[in-house]
Amino acid sequence: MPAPDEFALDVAGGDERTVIRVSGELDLGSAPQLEAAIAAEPARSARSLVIDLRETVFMDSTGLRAVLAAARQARESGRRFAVTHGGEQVQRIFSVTGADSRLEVLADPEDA
Amino acid sequence: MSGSVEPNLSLELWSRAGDVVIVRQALAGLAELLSLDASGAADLATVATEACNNVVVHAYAPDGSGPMNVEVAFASTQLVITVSDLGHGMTARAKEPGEAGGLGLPMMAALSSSLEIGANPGGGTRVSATFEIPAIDPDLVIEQTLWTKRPALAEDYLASGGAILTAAPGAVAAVTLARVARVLAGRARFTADGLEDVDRVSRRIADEVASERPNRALTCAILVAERELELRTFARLESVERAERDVEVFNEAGYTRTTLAVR
Repeated sequence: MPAPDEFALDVAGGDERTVIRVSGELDLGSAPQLEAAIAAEPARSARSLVIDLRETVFMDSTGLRAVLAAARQARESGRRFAVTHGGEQVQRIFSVTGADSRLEVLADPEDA
Repeated sequence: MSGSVEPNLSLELWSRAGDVVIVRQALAGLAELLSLDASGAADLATVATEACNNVVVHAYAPDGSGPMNVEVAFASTQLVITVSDLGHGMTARAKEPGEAGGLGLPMMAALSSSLEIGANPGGGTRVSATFEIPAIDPDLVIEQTLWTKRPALAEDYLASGGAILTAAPGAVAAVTLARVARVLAGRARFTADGLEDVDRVSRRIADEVASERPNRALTCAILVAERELELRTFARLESVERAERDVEVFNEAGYTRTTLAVR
Protein backbone atom coordinates (compact mmCIF):
# COMPACT_ATOMS: atom_id res chain seq x y z
CA MET A 1 0.00 0.00 0.00
CA PRO A 2 1.45 3.42 -0.88
CA ALA A 3 2.22 5.83 1.95
CA PRO A 4 -0.45 8.55 2.42
CA ASP A 5 2.01 11.25 1.30
CA GLU A 6 2.95 9.38 -1.87
CA PHE A 7 1.84 11.32 -4.93
CA ALA A 8 -0.58 9.76 -7.39
CA LEU A 9 -2.81 11.12 -10.17
CA ASP A 10 -5.90 9.48 -11.55
CA VAL A 11 -7.82 10.92 -14.50
CA ALA A 12 -11.36 9.64 -15.07
CA GLY A 13 -14.61 10.76 -16.66
CA GLY A 14 -16.83 10.90 -19.68
CA ASP A 15 -18.75 13.54 -21.66
CA GLU A 16 -20.19 15.13 -18.53
CA ARG A 17 -17.05 15.72 -16.50
CA THR A 18 -13.36 14.94 -16.19
CA VAL A 19 -12.17 14.30 -12.65
CA ILE A 20 -8.46 14.53 -11.90
CA ARG A 21 -7.89 12.97 -8.50
CA VAL A 22 -4.71 14.12 -6.75
CA SER A 23 -3.45 11.95 -3.88
CA GLY A 24 -0.52 12.63 -1.57
CA GLU A 25 1.65 15.74 -1.68
CA LEU A 26 1.14 18.23 -4.52
CA ASP A 27 4.44 20.10 -4.41
CA LEU A 28 7.40 21.35 -6.42
CA GLY A 29 8.33 17.78 -7.30
CA SER A 30 4.87 16.54 -8.29
CA ALA A 31 3.03 19.64 -9.63
CA PRO A 32 4.53 19.22 -13.15
CA GLN A 33 2.64 15.91 -13.42
CA LEU A 34 -0.65 17.68 -12.67
CA GLU A 35 0.24 20.40 -15.19
CA ALA A 36 0.89 17.74 -17.82
CA ALA A 37 -2.43 16.01 -17.07
CA ILE A 38 -4.26 19.34 -17.37
CA ALA A 39 -2.46 20.18 -20.61
CA ALA A 40 -3.62 16.86 -22.08
CA GLU A 41 -7.16 17.27 -20.73
CA PRO A 42 -8.90 19.43 -23.41
CA ALA A 43 -8.73 16.44 -25.74
CA ARG A 44 -11.36 14.84 -23.51
CA SER A 45 -13.72 17.81 -24.09
CA ALA A 46 -15.96 17.05 -21.12
CA ARG A 47 -18.32 19.84 -20.05
CA SER A 48 -16.75 20.16 -16.57
CA LEU A 49 -13.29 19.76 -15.13
CA VAL A 50 -12.96 18.85 -11.45
CA ILE A 51 -9.71 18.56 -9.54
CA ASP A 52 -10.42 16.25 -6.63
CA LEU A 53 -8.22 17.17 -3.66
CA ARG A 54 -9.91 15.03 -1.01
CA GLU A 55 -6.83 12.79 -0.79
CA THR A 56 -4.31 15.62 -1.13
CA VAL A 57 -2.45 15.85 2.17
CA PHE A 58 -0.24 18.82 1.25
CA MET A 59 -0.24 21.53 -1.42
CA ASP A 60 2.37 24.26 -1.89
CA SER A 61 2.28 27.40 -4.07
CA THR A 62 3.47 25.37 -7.06
CA GLY A 63 0.49 23.07 -6.68
CA LEU A 64 -1.89 25.99 -6.21
CA ARG A 65 -0.50 27.64 -9.34
CA ALA A 66 -1.23 24.45 -11.31
CA VAL A 67 -4.82 24.42 -9.99
CA LEU A 68 -5.34 28.11 -10.85
CA ALA A 69 -3.91 27.54 -14.34
CA ALA A 70 -6.39 24.71 -14.84
CA ALA A 71 -9.23 27.01 -13.75
CA ARG A 72 -8.15 29.64 -16.26
CA GLN A 73 -7.86 27.09 -19.06
CA ALA A 74 -11.34 25.72 -18.33
CA ARG A 75 -12.86 29.21 -18.17
CA GLU A 76 -11.25 30.21 -21.46
CA SER A 77 -12.76 27.17 -23.16
CA GLY A 78 -16.18 27.93 -21.66
CA ARG A 79 -16.28 24.94 -19.33
CA ARG A 80 -17.17 24.61 -15.69
CA PHE A 81 -14.27 24.20 -13.24
CA ALA A 82 -14.34 23.11 -9.62
CA VAL A 83 -12.16 21.61 -6.91
CA THR A 84 -13.17 19.44 -4.00
CA HIS A 85 -12.24 20.15 -0.39
CA GLY A 86 -8.72 19.12 0.59
CA GLY A 87 -7.35 18.48 4.05
CA GLU A 88 -6.59 21.11 6.70
CA GLN A 89 -3.39 22.36 5.07
CA VAL A 90 -4.91 22.53 1.59
CA GLN A 91 -7.92 24.53 2.82
CA ARG A 92 -5.62 26.96 4.65
CA ILE A 93 -3.71 27.61 1.43
CA PHE A 94 -6.95 28.28 -0.45
CA SER A 95 -8.19 30.63 2.25
CA VAL A 96 -4.95 32.54 2.91
CA THR A 97 -4.48 33.24 -0.82
CA GLY A 98 -8.16 34.04 -1.40
CA ALA A 99 -8.31 31.27 -4.01
CA ASP A 100 -11.37 29.77 -2.29
CA SER A 101 -13.41 32.86 -3.20
CA ARG A 102 -12.40 32.58 -6.87
CA LEU A 103 -12.94 28.84 -7.27
CA GLU A 104 -16.03 26.70 -6.97
CA VAL A 105 -15.35 24.34 -4.07
CA LEU A 106 -17.45 21.17 -3.89
CA ALA A 107 -17.79 18.46 -1.27
CA ASP A 108 -17.93 15.73 -3.92
CA PRO A 109 -16.80 15.63 -7.58
CA GLU A 110 -20.21 14.15 -8.50
CA ASP A 111 -21.75 17.53 -7.60
CA ALA A 112 -20.24 19.12 -10.72
CA MET B 1 14.76 34.71 20.35
CA SER B 2 17.94 36.09 18.89
CA GLY B 3 19.62 34.58 15.86
CA SER B 4 22.57 33.46 17.97
CA VAL B 5 20.60 30.87 19.95
CA GLU B 6 21.67 27.40 18.97
CA PRO B 7 18.94 25.56 17.14
CA ASN B 8 17.12 22.47 18.37
CA LEU B 9 17.26 21.02 14.91
CA SER B 10 19.55 21.52 11.96
CA LEU B 11 19.10 19.81 8.59
CA GLU B 12 21.94 20.04 6.09
CA LEU B 13 20.42 19.23 2.72
CA TRP B 14 20.81 19.89 -1.00
CA SER B 15 18.76 22.20 -3.23
CA ARG B 16 16.48 19.58 -4.79
CA ALA B 17 12.72 19.15 -4.67
CA GLY B 18 13.00 15.76 -2.97
CA ASP B 19 14.86 17.26 -0.02
CA VAL B 20 11.95 19.60 0.74
CA VAL B 21 10.00 16.45 1.65
CA ILE B 22 12.66 15.70 4.29
CA VAL B 23 12.06 19.11 5.86
CA ARG B 24 8.28 18.56 6.03
CA GLN B 25 8.72 15.15 7.59
CA ALA B 26 11.11 16.44 10.27
CA LEU B 27 8.72 19.31 11.05
CA ALA B 28 5.76 16.91 11.29
CA GLY B 29 7.67 14.95 13.95
CA LEU B 30 8.53 18.13 15.79
CA ALA B 31 4.95 19.43 15.62
CA GLU B 32 3.73 16.18 17.16
CA LEU B 33 6.33 16.38 19.93
CA LEU B 34 5.39 19.99 20.67
CA SER B 35 1.64 19.11 20.62
CA LEU B 36 0.84 21.65 17.91
CA ASP B 37 -2.69 21.43 16.50
CA ALA B 38 -3.33 20.52 12.86
CA SER B 39 -3.34 24.11 11.62
CA GLY B 40 -0.17 25.01 13.55
CA ALA B 41 1.61 21.98 12.10
CA ALA B 42 0.29 22.80 8.61
CA ASP B 43 1.63 26.36 8.80
CA LEU B 44 5.14 25.22 9.75
CA ALA B 45 5.11 22.79 6.82
CA THR B 46 3.80 25.39 4.36
CA VAL B 47 6.19 28.18 5.32
CA ALA B 48 9.26 25.91 5.43
CA THR B 49 8.28 24.40 2.07
CA GLU B 50 7.93 27.80 0.39
CA ALA B 51 11.29 28.97 1.78
CA CYS B 52 12.95 25.75 0.59
CA ASN B 53 11.23 25.92 -2.81
CA ASN B 54 12.84 29.33 -3.28
CA VAL B 55 16.24 27.78 -2.60
CA VAL B 56 15.59 24.92 -5.03
CA VAL B 57 14.27 27.16 -7.82
CA HIS B 58 16.12 30.46 -7.39
CA ALA B 59 19.22 30.25 -5.18
CA TYR B 60 21.62 28.70 -7.64
CA ALA B 61 22.24 28.99 -11.38
CA PRO B 62 19.50 27.32 -13.49
CA ASP B 63 21.60 24.21 -14.08
CA GLY B 64 23.38 24.43 -10.74
CA SER B 65 22.65 23.30 -7.22
CA GLY B 66 24.09 23.71 -3.76
CA PRO B 67 23.55 23.43 -0.02
CA MET B 68 20.15 24.07 1.56
CA ASN B 69 20.20 24.44 5.35
CA VAL B 70 17.20 24.45 7.62
CA GLU B 71 17.33 25.26 11.33
CA VAL B 72 14.54 25.21 13.88
CA ALA B 73 14.84 26.76 17.33
CA PHE B 74 12.12 26.89 19.97
CA ALA B 75 11.79 28.40 23.43
CA SER B 76 8.78 29.01 25.71
CA THR B 77 6.06 30.08 23.24
CA GLN B 78 8.00 30.73 20.04
CA LEU B 79 9.42 28.67 17.24
CA VAL B 80 11.74 30.01 14.54
CA ILE B 81 12.48 28.29 11.23
CA THR B 82 15.51 29.57 9.32
CA VAL B 83 16.25 28.46 5.77
CA SER B 84 19.53 29.49 4.18
CA ASP B 85 21.57 28.81 1.07
CA LEU B 86 24.98 29.71 -0.33
CA GLY B 87 23.65 30.88 -3.70
CA HIS B 88 23.86 34.18 -5.54
CA GLY B 89 21.50 36.07 -3.23
CA MET B 90 18.10 37.65 -3.81
CA THR B 91 19.13 40.75 -5.75
CA ALA B 92 21.00 38.94 -8.49
CA ARG B 93 17.87 37.44 -9.95
CA ALA B 94 15.88 39.58 -12.37
CA LYS B 95 12.26 38.64 -12.82
CA GLU B 96 11.54 36.84 -16.07
CA PRO B 97 9.13 38.72 -18.34
CA GLY B 98 5.63 37.39 -17.80
CA GLU B 99 6.62 35.57 -14.64
CA ALA B 100 3.74 35.34 -12.20
CA GLY B 101 3.94 37.45 -9.07
CA GLY B 102 5.05 34.94 -6.48
CA LEU B 103 2.36 33.26 -4.42
CA GLY B 104 4.91 31.84 -2.00
CA LEU B 105 6.10 34.98 -0.25
CA PRO B 106 2.63 36.34 0.66
CA MET B 107 1.71 32.86 1.91
CA MET B 108 4.80 32.76 4.13
CA ALA B 109 4.06 36.21 5.50
CA ALA B 110 0.40 35.40 6.18
CA LEU B 111 1.07 32.11 7.95
CA SER B 112 3.92 33.21 10.24
CA SER B 113 3.88 35.89 12.92
CA SER B 114 6.98 37.52 11.48
CA LEU B 115 9.17 36.96 8.46
CA GLU B 116 12.70 38.23 7.84
CA ILE B 117 14.49 37.90 4.54
CA GLY B 118 18.07 38.98 4.13
CA ALA B 119 21.61 38.11 3.22
CA ASN B 120 23.08 34.97 4.74
CA PRO B 121 26.32 35.87 6.56
CA GLY B 122 28.10 33.04 4.71
CA GLY B 123 26.74 34.18 1.31
CA GLY B 124 23.38 33.56 -0.30
CA THR B 125 20.00 34.25 1.26
CA ARG B 126 18.53 33.61 4.69
CA VAL B 127 14.81 33.51 5.50
CA SER B 128 13.61 33.38 9.12
CA ALA B 129 9.98 32.81 10.04
CA THR B 130 8.72 33.07 13.62
CA PHE B 131 5.60 31.31 14.90
CA GLU B 132 3.71 31.67 18.17
CA ILE B 133 3.14 28.23 19.65
CA PRO B 134 1.53 26.86 22.86
CA ALA B 135 3.87 26.77 25.88
CA ILE B 136 6.50 24.06 25.44
CA ASP B 137 6.88 21.14 27.85
CA PRO B 138 9.71 22.33 30.18
CA ASP B 139 11.52 19.01 29.67
CA LEU B 140 12.06 19.94 26.04
CA VAL B 141 13.64 23.30 26.81
CA ILE B 142 17.39 23.06 27.10
CA GLU B 143 19.44 25.64 28.95
CA GLN B 144 22.55 25.04 26.94
CA THR B 145 23.39 22.50 24.30
CA LEU B 146 26.94 21.49 23.67
CA TRP B 147 26.72 21.68 19.91
CA THR B 148 29.58 19.56 18.68
CA LYS B 149 31.15 20.64 15.43
CA ARG B 150 30.76 17.65 13.19
CA PRO B 151 33.80 16.26 11.43
CA ALA B 152 34.12 17.11 7.76
CA LEU B 153 32.38 14.77 5.36
CA ALA B 154 33.11 14.32 1.69
CA GLU B 155 31.85 17.34 -0.26
CA ASP B 156 29.57 15.28 -2.43
CA TYR B 157 27.86 13.73 0.59
CA LEU B 158 24.79 15.95 0.35
CA ALA B 159 24.85 16.29 -3.44
CA SER B 160 24.70 12.52 -3.85
CA GLY B 161 21.54 12.12 -1.79
CA GLY B 162 22.65 12.24 1.83
CA ALA B 163 21.37 14.41 4.65
CA ILE B 164 22.92 15.52 7.92
CA LEU B 165 20.73 16.03 10.94
CA THR B 166 21.74 17.61 14.26
CA ALA B 167 19.18 17.75 17.05
CA ALA B 168 18.75 18.37 20.76
CA PRO B 169 17.41 17.38 23.21
CA GLY B 170 17.15 13.62 22.70
CA ALA B 171 13.38 13.66 22.22
CA VAL B 172 13.74 16.02 19.23
CA ALA B 173 16.49 13.81 17.82
CA ALA B 174 14.31 10.70 18.16
CA VAL B 175 11.22 12.06 16.37
CA THR B 176 13.11 13.85 13.61
CA LEU B 177 15.87 11.33 12.85
CA ALA B 178 13.37 8.50 12.42
CA ARG B 179 11.26 10.50 9.95
CA VAL B 180 14.23 11.81 7.95
CA ALA B 181 15.77 8.34 7.77
CA ARG B 182 12.45 6.94 6.51
CA VAL B 183 12.34 9.41 3.60
CA LEU B 184 15.86 8.46 2.56
CA ALA B 185 15.10 4.75 3.00
CA GLY B 186 12.05 5.23 0.78
CA ARG B 187 14.38 6.56 -1.92
CA ALA B 188 16.42 3.38 -1.55
CA ARG B 189 13.20 1.39 -2.10
CA PHE B 190 12.90 -0.15 1.36
CA THR B 191 9.64 -2.06 1.79
CA ALA B 192 7.14 -1.30 4.57
CA ASP B 193 8.87 -3.84 6.85
CA GLY B 194 12.25 -2.35 6.02
CA LEU B 195 10.94 1.14 6.83
CA GLU B 196 9.77 -0.12 10.23
CA ASP B 197 13.33 -1.33 10.89
CA VAL B 198 14.75 2.04 9.86
CA ASP B 199 12.30 3.76 12.19
CA ARG B 200 13.14 1.54 15.17
CA VAL B 201 16.94 1.62 14.66
CA SER B 202 16.94 5.42 14.25
CA ARG B 203 15.02 5.88 17.49
CA ARG B 204 17.37 3.49 19.26
CA ILE B 205 20.41 5.44 18.05
CA ALA B 206 18.87 8.74 19.15
CA ASP B 207 17.97 7.25 22.54
CA GLU B 208 21.43 5.80 23.10
CA VAL B 209 23.22 9.01 22.19
CA ALA B 210 20.81 11.02 24.37
CA SER B 211 21.27 8.76 27.40
CA GLU B 212 25.07 8.63 27.07
CA ARG B 213 25.54 12.36 26.53
CA PRO B 214 22.40 14.22 27.64
CA ASN B 215 23.82 17.69 27.10
CA ARG B 216 25.06 17.13 23.63
CA ALA B 217 23.21 17.35 20.39
CA LEU B 218 22.99 14.23 18.25
CA THR B 219 24.56 14.56 14.83
CA CYS B 220 23.71 11.86 12.33
CA ALA B 221 24.67 11.73 8.67
CA ILE B 222 22.27 9.62 6.64
CA LEU B 223 23.39 8.24 3.32
CA VAL B 224 21.65 6.12 0.76
CA ALA B 225 24.12 3.68 -0.78
CA GLU B 226 23.68 0.80 -3.16
CA ARG B 227 20.99 -1.39 -1.57
CA GLU B 228 21.58 0.01 1.92
CA LEU B 229 21.04 2.94 4.25
CA GLU B 230 23.89 4.16 6.42
CA LEU B 231 23.41 6.13 9.63
CA ARG B 232 26.70 7.71 10.68
CA THR B 233 26.94 9.10 14.20
CA PHE B 234 29.89 10.81 15.78
CA ALA B 235 29.68 8.83 19.00
CA ARG B 236 30.25 5.17 19.81
CA LEU B 237 27.14 3.02 19.87
CA GLU B 238 27.05 -0.08 22.06
CA SER B 239 23.43 -1.10 22.61
CA VAL B 240 22.19 -0.73 19.03
CA GLU B 241 24.21 -3.70 17.79
CA ARG B 242 23.21 -5.85 20.77
CA ALA B 243 19.54 -5.09 20.30
CA GLU B 244 19.25 -5.33 16.53
CA ARG B 245 19.79 -8.50 14.52
CA ASP B 246 19.71 -7.11 11.01
CA VAL B 247 21.95 -4.09 11.28
CA GLU B 248 25.70 -3.90 11.14
CA VAL B 249 27.49 -1.46 13.43
CA PHE B 250 31.06 -0.44 12.67
CA ASN B 251 32.80 1.60 15.36
CA GLU B 252 35.42 3.51 13.36
CA ALA B 253 37.89 6.09 14.64
CA GLY B 254 35.73 9.08 15.60
CA TYR B 255 32.42 7.84 14.26
CA THR B 256 30.09 4.87 14.05
CA ARG B 257 28.44 3.52 10.91
CA THR B 258 25.17 1.66 11.29
CA THR B 259 23.99 0.04 8.07
CA LEU B 260 20.64 -1.48 7.16
CA ALA B 261 20.29 -3.52 3.99
CA VAL B 262 17.27 -2.86 1.76
CA ARG B 263 14.41 -5.20 2.52
